Amino acid sequence: MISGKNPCVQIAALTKRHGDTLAVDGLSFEVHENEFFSIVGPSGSGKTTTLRLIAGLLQADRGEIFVNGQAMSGLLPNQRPVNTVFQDYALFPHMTVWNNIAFGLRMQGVAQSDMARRVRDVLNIVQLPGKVDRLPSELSGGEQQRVALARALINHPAVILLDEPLGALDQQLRQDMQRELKAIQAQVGVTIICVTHHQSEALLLSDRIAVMNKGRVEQIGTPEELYSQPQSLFVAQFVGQSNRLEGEVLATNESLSVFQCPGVKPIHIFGVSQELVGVRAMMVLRPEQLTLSREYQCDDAENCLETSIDQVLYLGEAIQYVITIGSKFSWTARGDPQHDRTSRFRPGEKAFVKWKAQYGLLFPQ
Amino acid sequence: MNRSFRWLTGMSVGTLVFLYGPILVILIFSFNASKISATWEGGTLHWYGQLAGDHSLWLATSNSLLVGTVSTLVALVLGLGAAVFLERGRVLGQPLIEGILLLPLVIPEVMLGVALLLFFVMLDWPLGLTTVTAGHCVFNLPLVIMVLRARLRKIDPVWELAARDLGASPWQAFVHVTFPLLRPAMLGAGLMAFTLSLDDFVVTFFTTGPGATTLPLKVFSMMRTGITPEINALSAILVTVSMLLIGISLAFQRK
Amino acid sequence: MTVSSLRQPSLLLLPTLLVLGVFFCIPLLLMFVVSFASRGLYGGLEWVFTVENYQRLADPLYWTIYGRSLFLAVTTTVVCLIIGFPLAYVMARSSPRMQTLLLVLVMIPFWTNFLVRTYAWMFLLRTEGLFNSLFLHVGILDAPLDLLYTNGAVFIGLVYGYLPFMILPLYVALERISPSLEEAAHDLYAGSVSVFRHVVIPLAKPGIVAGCILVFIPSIGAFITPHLLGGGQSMMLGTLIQHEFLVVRDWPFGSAISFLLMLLVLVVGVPLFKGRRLWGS
Repeated sequence: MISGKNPCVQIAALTKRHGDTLAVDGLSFEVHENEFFSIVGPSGSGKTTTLRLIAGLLQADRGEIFVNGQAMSGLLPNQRPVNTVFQDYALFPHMTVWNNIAFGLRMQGVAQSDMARRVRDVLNIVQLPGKVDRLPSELSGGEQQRVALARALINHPAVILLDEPLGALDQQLRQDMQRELKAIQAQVGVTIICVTHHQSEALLLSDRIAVMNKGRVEQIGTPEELYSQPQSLFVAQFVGQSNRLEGEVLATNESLSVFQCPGVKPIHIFGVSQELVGVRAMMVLRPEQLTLSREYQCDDAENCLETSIDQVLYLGEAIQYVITIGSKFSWTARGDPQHDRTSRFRPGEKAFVKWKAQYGLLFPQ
Repeated sequence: MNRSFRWLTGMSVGTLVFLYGPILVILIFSFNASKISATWEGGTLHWYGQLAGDHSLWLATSNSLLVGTVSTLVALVLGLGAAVFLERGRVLGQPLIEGILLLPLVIPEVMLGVALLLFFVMLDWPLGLTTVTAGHCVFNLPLVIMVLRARLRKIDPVWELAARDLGASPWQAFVHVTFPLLRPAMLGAGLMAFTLSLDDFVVTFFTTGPGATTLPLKVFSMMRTGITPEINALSAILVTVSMLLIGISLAFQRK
Repeated sequence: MTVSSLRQPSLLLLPTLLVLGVFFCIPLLLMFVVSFASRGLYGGLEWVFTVENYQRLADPLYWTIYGRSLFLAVTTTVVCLIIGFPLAYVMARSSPRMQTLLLVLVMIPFWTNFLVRTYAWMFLLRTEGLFNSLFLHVGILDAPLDLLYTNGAVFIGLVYGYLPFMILPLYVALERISPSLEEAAHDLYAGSVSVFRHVVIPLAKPGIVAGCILVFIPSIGAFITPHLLGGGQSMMLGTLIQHEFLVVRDWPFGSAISFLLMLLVLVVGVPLFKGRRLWGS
């Protein structure tokens, strides 16, 4: 389902202190209707605090939260059209699956007949029919997660908050649940805000992502925007793998610039403005932008450096080569495992790594 | 949510005031110069001095310490073996034995006291410190066993097995592996048993004889004769001793 | 260490069984036998079998004492639960440092001599005591009230004495409840009262049961409290037993009353044995 551009959740200048530190610092952003919106960031970045502020489990010091145009400040969690799926699921251990799921409806005084129908419907949506009389302790991790999701969905809230939803699941289960989450959202049509520190997962699931750092938003964008057009070094390093090179911009004309890292051949970069000349900066490349070869073969628009293979790691879907550039920067390059085994590099081999000049991203320090 | 928590906090403060108010009143009035209490007439340590000079009080205290030490040691020595056996072994009628071990802690003290009295009288066993100590063993032993068993349950038998695997005999495995792990629990259980014994009134009341006064009995007889500030002073001392005991046991737990 | 690996396994258990057998089982059995004997002329025993002692238990004369004991024990338990629950909950939801502090604060009365804690109320409630002096001084009263030696005094003494016994198991049970469960309930539209009703209290049940048992049993068999605070007007089962044994010297009848008390206790105490496993010690 294509998310409409109507704002469902609006955060305005949200601030929350935690002791002496600012957990959330003047946060402002919007989440659109039916969007899968993720907030990612390292621990301590304030993403969980933000989620709890939206849920009402914390009250902000300053700023405002709007859900469907309604101001949330002063409203308790049980007064907000927001439901949360907690990290540890928080299923009531003394209640059956049925009672867990129907809890929200019970609290709102929904009629019994309606309740039965809605519970049945939501169980079908999360694909968990027929386990209604079990206790949470009798369910597997994946099943518990579905119950937690159903418990939130059944109330048709304006927003569902997910707190590290797939953390406790094993790899295969994670992937299954990821697909299901997207399917459920498409089917039901609900706005989801998800907090996770797994940026790869966020890239997979989200329509848009907000990258948070030290209580502030570094960048908001679609997964592709964040990955290929990061606006800060932090985002470039946090989202996806990054190969870095520290150096100085020597000179630039209209289109081409020269970037020099000590001990490394000068590198060509595109699109650097005049004011960055003489400035120390960090260049970032993605692993898939690099090509390894045994011979030196360099076009005008390419950069080519000599290197040697430190490590070869077999990932299954790719081969990862760890190489060293400029004697202190460790880079990762990819290789195709489908290639003939004999053409693969081995640790210690000399190689040449090259990339197109237009790929390099530059961030002043 | 915060609002209701504030209510609860208010009620909690009330509960704490209720718990400590009377004790603090006693403490304060133990320094009261007035003998007829209840009206403050100046601070004094006079009553504490009276206590210090009361020989029967010192005798009662030493009796209490003696009975406490003996009953605690008995409980620890016997209880250790019993706890180890019950946790690591099997015996016929274990539920019955466990019931018998639990019963002294469950039945009212009055009942235990009169039963023991009956027993000693019918056997023509003269009532005195020995009979009191025997009574104290009856409730200390199950207590120690309970505490030690709980701790043993948390000690993974795999360590003993590992020691055995490395060539230790069962006795050695116990001494070098299990016992060191049990030591803090033994200290804790011993402290509890000792305190319980020092504090005991009811069982002691029924099993005591002439010349075998313990501290609680002395306190009680003082209360029967009339309310005097000396009792306040003695109470204050006993409360302070309790606080010290808790401090000690907490310090042990930290280690 | 398994049984098979020990040469004399029962050696470990035997001394304990011996001590308890001699000083616990035999006295109780003896008392049971004595409850079917007759009272001698000047006290003491006459070995004449009779069930009269148990029949006497049904005498309406003693019904007030049974009723008072049961009533006081039940009300004490209920009041302790009501007073103790907020504190136990606040303790369970406090920061670790605060929890330790509050735990120490609750433990101090717990470890303080019971006589002293009962005496405190003697001091406060007597005619020249603090409350009367205060009320007279302030002018609320013209003459001192008889606060001591009443059922009310015994009740206060029981609540005061056994409150820590309620707070501690409540705290243990409440502390086990993950705060995220309460948050989830709020998130699902439950108000504070509903959260307590549907989440906190059901999950705290093992602690509530344990606390009630730990208060009820000593209360119904209480001796010190009614003896010091109740006087002759507020006799309970515990003081009755003492009265029969040491004053009237009717050992058989005293024994019978003891077993009645034991019966009352076991009726509540058997769930204790089973509830212990629920509670997880």
